[in-house]
Amino acid sequence: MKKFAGLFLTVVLAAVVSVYPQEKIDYSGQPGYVDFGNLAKFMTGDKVTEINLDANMLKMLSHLGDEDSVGFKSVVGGLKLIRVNSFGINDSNEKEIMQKITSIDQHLSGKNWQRIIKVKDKGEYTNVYILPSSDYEDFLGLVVTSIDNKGKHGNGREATFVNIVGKINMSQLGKLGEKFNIPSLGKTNKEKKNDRKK
Amino acid sequence: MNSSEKINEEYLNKIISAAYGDAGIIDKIKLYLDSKKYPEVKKILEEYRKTAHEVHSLKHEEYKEAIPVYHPQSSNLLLLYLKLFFRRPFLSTALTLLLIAGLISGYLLMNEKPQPKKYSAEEIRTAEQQAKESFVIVASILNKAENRLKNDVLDKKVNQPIQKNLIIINNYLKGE
Repeated sequence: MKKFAGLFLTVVLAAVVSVYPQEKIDYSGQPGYVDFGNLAKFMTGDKVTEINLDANMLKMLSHLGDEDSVGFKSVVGGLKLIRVNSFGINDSNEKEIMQKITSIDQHLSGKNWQRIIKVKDKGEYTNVYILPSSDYEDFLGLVVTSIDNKGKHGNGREATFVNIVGKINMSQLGKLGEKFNIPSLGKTNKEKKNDRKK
Repeated sequence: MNSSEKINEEYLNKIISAAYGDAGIIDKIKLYLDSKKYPEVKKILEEYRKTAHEVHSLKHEEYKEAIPVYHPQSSNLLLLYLKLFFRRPFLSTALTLLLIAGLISGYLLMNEKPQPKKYSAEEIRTAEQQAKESFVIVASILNKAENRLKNDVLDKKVNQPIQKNLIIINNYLKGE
């Protein structure tokens, strides 16, 4: 009888634990989050890069690593999501991708996002947007939409969609840029004030 | 029981029940008083108690072979199943456990603080590479835009026209 009861309790608890929700984060409430819609249909072929790092993983990365990666940990520590979708462009999907880029541009232009870079030249398009915090001290999101004629794989045209969500430490990102060849996006108001004080 | 009376079958059954612990509380009190009063009753009660004690001290293995094994007919399997799983102790235990499980799941859902996902070392290593790759992708796009701004816009559209005009002015001032 005790055996039966123990077995029954184990089964029931296992069932309860299995239905208990694992952490699945809803980013729609995050100010820096931008929904690119369904990009899965473009993610075919050889030239595909898909990166999706959620808050849990980024938090984990910010706690791990050696002393050399202090800057990296500092940048990553404030982030909630890194999403990168990069894929090849062909004649069949080019029009649809352009529509998506235009749609994202319209969506972000109507909000608090600031477009800091817009390039349209010889079939290449690059838009970079940042979302400053209400006091303009920090950045809460970064979006990059790009069509490159050479692509990072160096063979054919590629589209890239990037969304980085969370508190982006531009100072640290600049330092990290020296390491990973990332250019600095300039100084924030806070940094400018600090410079003036010095 | 009177002193003149012999122990009849009914009274003997009461003694046996008391000895094996099955008698009611009133019978137990009555027999206790009788055993104080009549040594014969006391003697019989003690004998049966001794026997009962020996029986109760027997282990399962010692008498299981003596119990006839019931081989159910296939037609009685459903009945056996129902008897096995719907006996009162089992049913009440099952219901209690279900209630406990329901309360636990309710509590967990009410205080929905999701369990943090655990990652393997390999997953973390891959994630670190992916994070760096993300920064490199952003960097390459920004670098390209920066270079375009420096070379194409500032140099070709600003520097070169200014230089051209300065040369013209210079030449004019020289009188050429």
